[in-house]
Amino acid sequence: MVMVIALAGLKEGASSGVWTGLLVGFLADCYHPSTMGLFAFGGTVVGYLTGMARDRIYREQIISQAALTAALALAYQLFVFFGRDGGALSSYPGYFIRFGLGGAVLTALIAALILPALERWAYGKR
Amino acid sequence: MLLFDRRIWHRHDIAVLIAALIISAVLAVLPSGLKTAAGGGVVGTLFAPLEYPASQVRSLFFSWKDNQELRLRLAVASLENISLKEAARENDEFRRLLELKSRTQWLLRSARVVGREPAARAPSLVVEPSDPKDIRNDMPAVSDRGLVGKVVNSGPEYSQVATIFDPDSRVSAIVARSRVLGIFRTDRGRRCILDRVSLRSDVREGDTVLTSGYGQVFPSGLMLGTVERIRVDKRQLTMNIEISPSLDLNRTSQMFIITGGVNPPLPSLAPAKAPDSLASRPRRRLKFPPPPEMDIRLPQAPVPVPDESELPGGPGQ
Repeated sequence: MVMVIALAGLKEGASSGVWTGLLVGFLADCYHPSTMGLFAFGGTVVGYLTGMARDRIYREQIISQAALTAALALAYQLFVFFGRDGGALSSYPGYFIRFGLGGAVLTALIAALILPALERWAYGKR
Repeated sequence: MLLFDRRIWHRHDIAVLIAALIISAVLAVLPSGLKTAAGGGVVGTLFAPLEYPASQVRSLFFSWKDNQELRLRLAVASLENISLKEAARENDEFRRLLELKSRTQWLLRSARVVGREPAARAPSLVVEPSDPKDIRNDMPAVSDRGLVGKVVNSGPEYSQVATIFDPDSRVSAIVARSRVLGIFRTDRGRRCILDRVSLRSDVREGDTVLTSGYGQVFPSGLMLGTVERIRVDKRQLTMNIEISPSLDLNRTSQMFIITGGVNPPLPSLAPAKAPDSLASRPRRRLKFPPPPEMDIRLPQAPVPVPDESELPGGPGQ
């Protein structure tokens, strides 16, 4: 989910990232109707952040894309932890060390592998 | 249309962000029933085509896990089944051995088979007697199926028993019905035969062959087998009798070693209908020494008979 938003934001800009984040977040919300709107909100914010970062990084480099994806994954985890799971602020460091950091690194690795192919599929060779 | 002009939206990212946030907030404040209906509808419509293969893959995975677990359970159950079958077989063997022990007057020591060659007619067994100190060489080993063999190498813990299938084994045997004697042995460890039986002997297929007790090693009356096939070769002097042995080493895991006791008589046998071949056709004439000359002299005069009154204790005393 984060990778799709990151791709849209990097290629098209903040507004595309926002709309893509809203759409993808809404689809994720459909699986969790009790917290409807939460993932849409998170996707919107992540998409906007991607658009903001677009002009400040070397967006053509895989490493930059992977690092940005990891940062977005960490931001998205905040919504999951505080919004969906109702976690307390004091327990976030433990969550971050046990799950957050590893999840972000894994997302970055997968993004480094998948994003070029996804970009080629969505936008063609440029 | 101004709303769909991409340039305006690109220039007004903040406005887009605010619009998306408002939509998110509207979604968040929807009634819970509507949230559930909307979520279910979207998931059912959009993701159902993906859900089916996903559920199939998931089902396949769980089936694989179930299969692994069931295989494990099957292996455990098979092992338990084998163990129970073995216990039942052993129980049956023990019951028959106990019956044998109660029937006889021998002093018996039980022994467990701990090693043998994989052949069905192994020439020797390694047994672990219950009381190894009492075991000596040449002691007979028996089971509920008859004679097993004899101890050839008694040790402090284990003993070696040479079975009746040993190529060097010779057992003096008797046909139970006709009392015909012979030597039970194996034909180089393959077939069991009854040897040294003359051509005119009364032996039929199905006759029971027992130990005769004449060999000073094995007691009499122990089962050896039944006559399976008789072949008569006129050029030879003896019959070729194949014996189906009663001993099955594959089913013998326990046995007794006879350490002493009273040798029971042979089981009641039907009277022999034909004379023993050894008695009917002696192959050589026995020369007995001539009887000694005896000097027999008859008395010349009658022996006087004393009167009753002269005898001690007669009338008048």
